[in-house]
Amino acid sequence: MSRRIDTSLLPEMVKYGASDIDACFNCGSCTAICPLADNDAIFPRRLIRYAQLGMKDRLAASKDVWMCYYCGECSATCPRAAEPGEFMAAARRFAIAQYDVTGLAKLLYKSDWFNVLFTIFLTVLFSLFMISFERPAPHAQLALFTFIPEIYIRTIALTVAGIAALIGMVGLVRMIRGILREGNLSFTPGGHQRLNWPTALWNTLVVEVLGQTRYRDDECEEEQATPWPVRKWFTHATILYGFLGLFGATALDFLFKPVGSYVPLYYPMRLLGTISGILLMYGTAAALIKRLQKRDKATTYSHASDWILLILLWLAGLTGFGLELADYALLPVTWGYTMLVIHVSLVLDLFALLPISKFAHIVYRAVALFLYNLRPVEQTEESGLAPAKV
Amino acid sequence: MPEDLEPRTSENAPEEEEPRIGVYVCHCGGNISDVVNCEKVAATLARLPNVVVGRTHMFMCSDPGQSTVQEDIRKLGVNRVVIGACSPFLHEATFRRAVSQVGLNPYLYYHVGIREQDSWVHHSTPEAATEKAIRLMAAAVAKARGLEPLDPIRLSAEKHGLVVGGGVAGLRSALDMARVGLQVTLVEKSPFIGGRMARLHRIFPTDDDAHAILDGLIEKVAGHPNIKIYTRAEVTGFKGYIGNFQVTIRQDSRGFEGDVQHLDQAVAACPIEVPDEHNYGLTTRTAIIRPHESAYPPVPAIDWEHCTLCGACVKAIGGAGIQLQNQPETYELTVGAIVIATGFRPYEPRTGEFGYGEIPQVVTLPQLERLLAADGPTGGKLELLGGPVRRVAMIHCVGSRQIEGVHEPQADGQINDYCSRVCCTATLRAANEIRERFPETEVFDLYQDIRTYGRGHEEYYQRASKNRVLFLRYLGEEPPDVAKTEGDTYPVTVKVKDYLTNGEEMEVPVDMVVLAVGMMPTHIESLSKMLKVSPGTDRFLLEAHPKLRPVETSVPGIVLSGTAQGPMNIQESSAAGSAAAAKAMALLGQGTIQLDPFVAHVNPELCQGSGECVAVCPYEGAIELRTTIEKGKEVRRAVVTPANCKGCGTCVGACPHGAIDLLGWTLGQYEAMLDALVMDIPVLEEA
Repeated sequence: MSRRIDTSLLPEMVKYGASDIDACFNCGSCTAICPLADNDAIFPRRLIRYAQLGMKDRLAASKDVWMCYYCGECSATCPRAAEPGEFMAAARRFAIAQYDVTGLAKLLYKSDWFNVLFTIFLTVLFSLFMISFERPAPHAQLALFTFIPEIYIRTIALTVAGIAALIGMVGLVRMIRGILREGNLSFTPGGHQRLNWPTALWNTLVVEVLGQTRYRDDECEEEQATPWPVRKWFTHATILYGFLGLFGATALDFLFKPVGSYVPLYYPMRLLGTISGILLMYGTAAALIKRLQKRDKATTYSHASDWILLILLWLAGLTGFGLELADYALLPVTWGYTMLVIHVSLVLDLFALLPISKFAHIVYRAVALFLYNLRPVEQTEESGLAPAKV
Repeated sequence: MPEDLEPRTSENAPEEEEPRIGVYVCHCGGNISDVVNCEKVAATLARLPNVVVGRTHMFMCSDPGQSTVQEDIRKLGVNRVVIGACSPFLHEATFRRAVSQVGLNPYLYYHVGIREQDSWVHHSTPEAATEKAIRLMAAAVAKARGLEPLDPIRLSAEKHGLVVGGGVAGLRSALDMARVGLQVTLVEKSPFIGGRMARLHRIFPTDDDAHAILDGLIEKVAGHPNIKIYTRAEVTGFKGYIGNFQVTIRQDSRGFEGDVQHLDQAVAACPIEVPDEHNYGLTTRTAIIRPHESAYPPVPAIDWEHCTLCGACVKAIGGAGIQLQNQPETYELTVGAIVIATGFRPYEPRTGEFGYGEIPQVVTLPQLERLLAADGPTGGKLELLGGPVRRVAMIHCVGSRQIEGVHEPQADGQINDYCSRVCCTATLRAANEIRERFPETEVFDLYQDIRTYGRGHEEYYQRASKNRVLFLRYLGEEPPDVAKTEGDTYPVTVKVKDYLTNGEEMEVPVDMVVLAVGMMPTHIESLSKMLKVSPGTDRFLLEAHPKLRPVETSVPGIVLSGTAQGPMNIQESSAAGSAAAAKAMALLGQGTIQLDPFVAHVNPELCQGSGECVAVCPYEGAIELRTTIEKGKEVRRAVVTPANCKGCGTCVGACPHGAIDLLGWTLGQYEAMLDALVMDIPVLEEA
């Protein structure tokens, strides 16, 4: 079946941030140099071609956009300076916007100003919500959940998380259906083929997400020559571990710790939170500095959505430490309350925006990697545990 | 016959002297000596009769190498020289010059190619190669014994050049020749000069206005006192040889004289309607061909082929200036050289090829050029069939790079398998112009390979992608399909298997399809047959050697200019035009032409006038029978015209009386060489 050409997609991709992609003449140097492209994931050239011809459905339903970690090798070697790496980033934004049912993601990605203003608006909204309740005058001693009753925080947090989860689930379903359709794949392949689900899960969650293997495979020579604490995969890993640690500490607190009770610094959940917070702040600070310095191709063309995610995470970490200091009476009480309002608002921002912001990659990339790793049993056994690579 | 045309042996030659042969073997810096034992060759040959010296040298062609030979001629009295070295194509002329510098006749030198013919092809068998070198050079020594001094043939040359074709290449050649003082006659078949370029609009690589450039050239040509222009004229007769070609030119009447008043009324009165070739058939014209803006000559012409001589035009303007009768005139002239600048014609697609001729939205690239031109049928607006064009698909390689079995052959049974070279950049130039002048019009470019090879050409490709021209790549075996669509916003759909998208079939709905048609030679079969210049397999005229004799034909004195020789852009055509002029000037500038004396020579005492030689001679006017009075009797004898003789030797074999010999390559010399090739060489046995 032939497909009709649609010339409106390429200008659309420019709005998503692929500002130099007009220069592309399809030579394929980008795919040739890409350390991650293989027979099962051919990019960036093919995806750029989809954009040029207007194959919206193909582009949005390609798991390949999530196979790229933006090392920038393609952009550095592109003979036309078409910045294919930046196109891949734009394609991920486009994909998130396509999965999003609310239509908000489109608006956020296509206008930097709207993105910034909307985030500030959301933060202010959450803050106002929290201080809008009748509350007793501040005590001399810090009593956070007297200042804002815990039930309010819990209610709004669960509401925001619920809505976000709903939007995210719809997005995930759309994504998975698209990938299966365009890739001509099925979870129930015919014949005697059985899919190797455990291996795919292991490869995705342990090897890729926790091990950051592809991120490390993606390193170019210059990157390998940089000291490990500022390597991209390492800073990314600290952000990821920090976030997961804080998420876990908060969840455990919520389940086991009496609300508002005092615990010493060595209390396990507190200790986990503190260490995770340090990792998160270190990672986000390093990433922000790299973007400010424009150290390489991947950090040169920062989009509003890149800045916002890092800044929200960094500020959430900062205010978290503020709260911790206040908790040990190292900061004045009023500071403590201010920190609480800002910290909770920022965390709510992060969760509210999770399915439509850059943060969404934590889910979409993981699922795309899972689908990439999901192979028939015969194939995975042949090549050992890891999926066949070319 | 002029006195200087007599073939003869050199007058300066000393009578019957004993041959004293010098033999030299070149190492060629190892090219020869790595395989052939040069010292052994020289030593062996030095022992042959008449050989007075045998030497080797690292590079015989170097100055010290040449002086060695010159010293031996002076001091040892060497009077025949044999050198074994590279191919004679490279250095025969070098050594002829070297020996003549010290007073030896240059034709007493003989060159043996022991590099190409020996060391390079026998590098695995050095001993056999050495023996082969000895035998080849022994044969040369045998020939050298019989060498006679010769004088080159000198022909007087008419300082007058004929240029056939008044396009940009012909104009360039004419102007360059006229500027050095040659007389030039320019013959153009159509009523106006300027050729195909006059129908172009803007030209790469500078986006210049084609007319601005062409008009400047025409003005200089038309105003040059040395150039005479014949439009509506053709070459109808031809004979002679380099320096002295007798040419007949036939010229049709124009039908109009001088400044024509009320031309509009005359045109309006004409009832004839035929496609206007100036607009490549996009419009029609009457039987009065009006000069386009800046045409030269600025006088209209009657289209005799279509005019019915009804006289309506004469009536309309009262007859002034119109001569409704074609009275062709013929002119005879003698020219020294002929420049063929007959140009090209754009490939005319078959009816139905990419929808051409069936779907009105399908046009050719030359037609698009007319649509974009300010003086074109739409006044420069991009409109087709009365409506604006929103989307254009441009298909490359139409009528070029054709594949046997995929493309239907032409009327002559051949396919155009060559690349026309110009269309890629020309198409991209037009694509850019569309995108820049009409930004709302989208352009799709369907190509096989983009071959923007020249300086400034690749920039058009880059500009095109910057201008968002969308490229789709098809394979030669799977050309795109153009079909009419009903009930769509776009009237035509182009389907293409796009190899930039893994061979996926794409549909491109468009308003207009432009076929980038290739170049084909003009119909000059009768001219090329008459002048005996031969076309290549692609039907374009063939040069004698692509690098060593780039614009010469195999006929001395006839040179090629521009696209008659193959697809070229304007820049290359102009360069070829200048090259052709330079070649003609080099031939005619001295007023005489020198040729090698290796031509047939008839011994009048043996000739019986049988005429066998004339019957077999493949060259016109090279040998003929003449009746002379000998001892009071009328006898017929064969006479050679050296200027026309190529020295092929056919007549030598045909003569039943052994009366003909080839100077420099006599039968006696051949026999001596053969004997030497098979003789026992004592030294070889010893070794």
